[in-house]
Amino acid sequence: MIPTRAAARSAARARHPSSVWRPDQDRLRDRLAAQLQAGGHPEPMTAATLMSIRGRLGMDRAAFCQLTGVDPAVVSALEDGTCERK
Amino acid sequence: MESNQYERLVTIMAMLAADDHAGLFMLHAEFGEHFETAVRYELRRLGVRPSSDDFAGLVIDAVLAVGGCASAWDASRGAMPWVWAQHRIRQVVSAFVGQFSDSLDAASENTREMVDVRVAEIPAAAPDSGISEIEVLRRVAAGNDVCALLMAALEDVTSQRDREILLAYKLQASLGDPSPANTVGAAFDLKPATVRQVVKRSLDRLRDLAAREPRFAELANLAFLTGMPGTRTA
Repeated sequence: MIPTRAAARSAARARHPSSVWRPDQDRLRDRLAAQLQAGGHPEPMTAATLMSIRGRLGMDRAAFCQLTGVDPAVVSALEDGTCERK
Repeated sequence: MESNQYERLVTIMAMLAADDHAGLFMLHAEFGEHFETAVRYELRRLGVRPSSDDFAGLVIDAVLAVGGCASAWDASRGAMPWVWAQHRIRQVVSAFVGQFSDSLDAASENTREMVDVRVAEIPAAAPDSGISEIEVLRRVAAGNDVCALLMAALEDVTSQRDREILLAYKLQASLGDPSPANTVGAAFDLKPATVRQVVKRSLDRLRDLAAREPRFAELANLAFLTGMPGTRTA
């Protein structure tokens, strides 16, 4: 059976890219980096990027460290700004 | 909202409360549409239509604002974060829209003409935009005698501004805001102490009216009057 024009439009609307919520997470990362910098963070962009990656993956620190095999202390130090640059 | 979505929201808010800023990205990605609606509501209330770029920035600011006070959000109260922190979102939008002003020093004839033109360009608020707490009470009062009595008492003993502050304060307190005076103060550009004073003064006047006037005696036992500022009512 051929779908009616209204039904076809309705089905297409759900598939159309404009109907999907597409958050600008890079902008949020930049805004967060600016906030961290204002708070005196030594590496604001690094910390914001790391948090952005975790956020996009939907993972807390423990899950992220388990996935990547990175020491949780390193992730915490990078995000909190307590790491020392060599 | 489905229960698994709500559980996810509670988890994200808990992450933010624990100062894990990765939660901001999750809140933005997974619940950004709700923030978009809240920001759009506030913009409509003020009769402003920003560019899509500015709008996206406002949504991010709203997420950051709500994320910043996540530790105060209480999931057991049932209000969604974007509803609970409505005044914070209003603050973000108001700061973006700004306040129309012009320097008095430059008040030459030319400047006056420019001011007139700019005032004429300010869009008028849509008649059906945002409903204030007072308007909600007024509508409820049409079908509820106690609310009608409370509305009459409020109009009798408080000014329009004090009524707005008192109702906004009570709304925030009922939503579980641990410091409603701070939230309402930010929205009305007042110090928290001033908000507390206005609330106390208005409630004192209402209690006095309920004690003096037999017509308002019924209000004396209302939780709205018996709860002191800063305490939660049943």
